[in-house]
Amino acid sequence: MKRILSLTAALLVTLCIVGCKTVTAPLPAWAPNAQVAIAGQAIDSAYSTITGYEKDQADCAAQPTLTKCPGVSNPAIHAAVQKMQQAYAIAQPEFKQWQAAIQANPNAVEPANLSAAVSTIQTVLSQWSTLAK
Amino acid sequence: MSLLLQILLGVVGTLPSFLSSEGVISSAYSNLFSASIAAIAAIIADIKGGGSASSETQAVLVALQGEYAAIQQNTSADPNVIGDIAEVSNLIGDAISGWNGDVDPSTLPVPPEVL
Repeated sequence: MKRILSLTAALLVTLCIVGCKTVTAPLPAWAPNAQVAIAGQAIDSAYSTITGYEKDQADCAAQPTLTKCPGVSNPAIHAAVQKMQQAYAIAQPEFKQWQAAIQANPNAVEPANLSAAVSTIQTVLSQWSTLAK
Repeated sequence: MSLLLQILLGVVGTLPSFLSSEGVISSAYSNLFSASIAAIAAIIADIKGGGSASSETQAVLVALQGEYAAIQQNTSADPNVIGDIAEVSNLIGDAISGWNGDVDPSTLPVPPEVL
């Protein structure tokens, strides 16, 4: 059961990664161009992963015998989520500013901090697929 | 793409042992298996078509979520299994939202630090 959940989680994360890397028309309503969509989808994937992990932590604190708890306490997964959370904390506010700026100026350049943080998120997400197996 | 295929096939490959060992009714398993196969086919078609998210992929993911929801209704199954099934169903829901781009990432909060 743990394996099926882990694999399913890995599948969903991979779907998000595929989406991140291959954004084409139609773009989401909030994305004025593909570059914004790629960054936004990485941020959205990171948010889902972090909040999902936090929920798992809370669940396992309340009921340690749950089948998912060994995976939740895995140090490698914990470290990966922490790294993703740090990148998300940088990326999300930067994304918000860039999205507003690009509405006024379609040529507004993606902030370097955002680009680096999105890259970190994508890297951790790709590692996550392996860690979750 | 190979990683995606590997994971997709891994999911399907583990379904029989998981479901038979948990006493889930065979028709629910059959439906879930069929929905998984349909999801794989649609996603692969999307990738071959350039990677754009098609309405077909969205439809099969919704169908897959529906099959999980149907299993949740099986009151004879182990409550722990039902809880896990509900979690997978929610994950698929999140994936559908992500696939559709429903949520504007600029509106997301910064979650608390992971301890």
